[in-house]
Amino acid sequence: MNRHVRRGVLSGALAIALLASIDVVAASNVSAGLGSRGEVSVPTWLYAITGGGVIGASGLMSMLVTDRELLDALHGKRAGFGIPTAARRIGTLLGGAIGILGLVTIVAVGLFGPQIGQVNLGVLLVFVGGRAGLTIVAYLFGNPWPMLDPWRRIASLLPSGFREYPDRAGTWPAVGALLVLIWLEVVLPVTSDPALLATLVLGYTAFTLLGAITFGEDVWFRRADPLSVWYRYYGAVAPLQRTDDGVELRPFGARLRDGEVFDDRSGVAFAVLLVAELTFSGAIATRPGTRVVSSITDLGVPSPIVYAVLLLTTFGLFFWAYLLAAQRSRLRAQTFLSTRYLGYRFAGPLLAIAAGYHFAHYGGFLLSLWPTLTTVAQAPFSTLNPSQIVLPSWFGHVEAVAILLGHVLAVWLAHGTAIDTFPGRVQAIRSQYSFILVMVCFTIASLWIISLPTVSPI
Amino acid sequence: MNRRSVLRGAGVGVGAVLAGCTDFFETESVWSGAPLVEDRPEAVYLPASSEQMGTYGMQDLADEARCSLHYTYPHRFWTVTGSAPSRVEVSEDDSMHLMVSAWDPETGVVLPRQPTGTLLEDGEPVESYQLWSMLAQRMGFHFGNNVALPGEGSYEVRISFDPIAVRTAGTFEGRFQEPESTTFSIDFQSSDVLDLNIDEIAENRRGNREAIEPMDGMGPPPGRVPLTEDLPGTSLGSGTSSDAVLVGRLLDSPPAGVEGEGQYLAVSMRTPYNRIALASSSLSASFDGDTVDLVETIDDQLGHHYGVALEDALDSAPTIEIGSPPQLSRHDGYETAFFEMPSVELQAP
Repeated sequence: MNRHVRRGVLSGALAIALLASIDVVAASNVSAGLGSRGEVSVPTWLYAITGGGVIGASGLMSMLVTDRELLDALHGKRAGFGIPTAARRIGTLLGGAIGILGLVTIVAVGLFGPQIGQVNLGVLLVFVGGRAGLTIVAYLFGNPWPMLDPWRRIASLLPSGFREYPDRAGTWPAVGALLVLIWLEVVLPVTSDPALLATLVLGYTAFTLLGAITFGEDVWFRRADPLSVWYRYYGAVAPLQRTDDGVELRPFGARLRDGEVFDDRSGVAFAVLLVAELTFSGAIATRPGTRVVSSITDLGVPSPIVYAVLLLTTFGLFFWAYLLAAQRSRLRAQTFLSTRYLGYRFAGPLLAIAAGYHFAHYGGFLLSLWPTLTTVAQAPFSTLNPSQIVLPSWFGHVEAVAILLGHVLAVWLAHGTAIDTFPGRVQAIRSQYSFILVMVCFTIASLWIISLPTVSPI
Repeated sequence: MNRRSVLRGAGVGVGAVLAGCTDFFETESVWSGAPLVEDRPEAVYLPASSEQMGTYGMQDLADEARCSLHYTYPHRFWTVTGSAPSRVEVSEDDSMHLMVSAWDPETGVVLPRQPTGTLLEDGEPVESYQLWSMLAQRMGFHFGNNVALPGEGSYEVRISFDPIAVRTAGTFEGRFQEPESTTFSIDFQSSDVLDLNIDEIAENRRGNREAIEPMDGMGPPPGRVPLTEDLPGTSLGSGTSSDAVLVGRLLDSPPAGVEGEGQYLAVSMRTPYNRIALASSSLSASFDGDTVDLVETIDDQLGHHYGVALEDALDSAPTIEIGSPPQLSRHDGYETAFFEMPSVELQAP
């Protein structure tokens, strides 16, 4: 046991020392399209492998904690706060007003405002506000979306529920819709053509309202609406969680161990897609990524098709790797529990990984364009030359640390889940090997991607 | 400590954090992130985008030169000192990019005539602007700079021109020798600038060795020199140096306004593709063991060129040496060309 501890501490220290010596820059196709510049590039295989080592080490360390009571004491802390009904009503009203105002602004300024992405409030609200900001709020604090969701507000005023939502469909419609959104974000100039973005938002509005009217508001926004599922899943990592009469404060990710976030394979697919999407968006904005894409387009394949195939392949590979890990885990642990059950029992940690990745890809982007967003918001039709923050070089370390923290949290949660799921300690530890291996691979890949300088995707 | 003072304290705290954010971090204009082509060739190339421009009108000067005032988005450019470019980023208080052109309305020849700009509010000067001589693909040769205005509203912009800085020949002999000035009334609205288009150039064409077609006919002329075959005199051939095209001509006698007798050696140095005159350079010609300096000149027939009257008839091929590259600020697409300029050997007459 001492040997394990020493090894863990040593690899941790080595990792921190190496991280401190290397510069990194965020990669994402959106941030490549909007403003921020990729200039620093150093890190390498060593850097990525170190990150992988940290995950391996944290896996070993967490396996030392097999005492159920200790685990429960660590995970189970919670403090509830009741919110009076009146305050909740006001909050709902205010949130709804802000949400609808935001939607109207995105469409109006997108269509009639300046047709330049970096000074158009519509573009900034969608990407800096929604894709980066609200998502970060969702996993760092708590899910703000149910309070704001403008579509749900509008849908709640309309008649709905003319058809039964097919149970079999699960969350698959949201998975499909998110794949389409990610693909559109890559193949269309959404960050540089505000009117196009506004038109897409109008199209999304029509699609969402039609869906909600047809199948019923509750089930649509729980199952089929990609944005609601997106924020709900990211929000599941956060310390603030909604309860029946208010909110409660819990340790980061503790809710993921409860095992009620996922109830079928389609939800797991959505969680895998969150991780795959970030890897994909990041990879295509790097030089090796653009090289792969251009080598295929040079053969005469149109780039929208190349991107569609690459996105589906990335998602497919990630999903396959995850299911394989679940299957291996079942064999190793020699359990009668089904692969399917293990699959969604262990999917919670994926969200912690996604949160870490998301911060690495969009944390700097949000910080950099925050003054731009607030300046443009004050005068959306006449702000010509707003400022942006120049990211200091140390910010690269924050991004790398975000990825590592996400993974360490994931390893820890997977461990907690294993202890909960299996009666025997050895069985619980064995079940985790394959998941930890998959996470080490994910970490290496993602650290490598954020280490590369950003270029504009083709 | 009651609830109110806690809230007030929290409010102050949040304010300080928000203010501290922009104080703590260095900031820059969002225009600093405007895309710049990667892997630019050491030559004229197609940039990532080109901006439309708006006009504040045209004015005729007392000496019959015409000038115009235009504006567009603030954007980066490169100034040139000696043989090195230095990048000028858009600063956070820039309101727009202001452009001045001066030309002879009769011939369309653009005049290298240094202006300075003064911004007046209610007749009082509030800002003064240095204007660089510049080379841009759409606008050609002009003077310009990113400028800051105190705010939106009505102003006057006074443009004061120096006497022309080059020799005048042909019908230009003796003209443009006095300082002149004129005033434009402008109504600056950010939304007018924001209404201008930025045309993105397809990703796969960026960095190609070509240039955007200059705007011809709808405002200030871009300062093109005549086609090679339209130049007067006998051909001495042509050559290229750091992507600049040098065309040699030999005239039997110098144009009016040039001192000296005998033949006149003229070298027209222009950008490739668009034939924009490359002014503010220093050239010399060597032949038969002699070296003579060429004088920067404008002429109604030759246009902008570098020329010298020769004492003896030229009977061998002259070599043109470029002592200093064009001292013109550059916009995207021109900042990598016309620097390390080797000499060019022309043909014998």
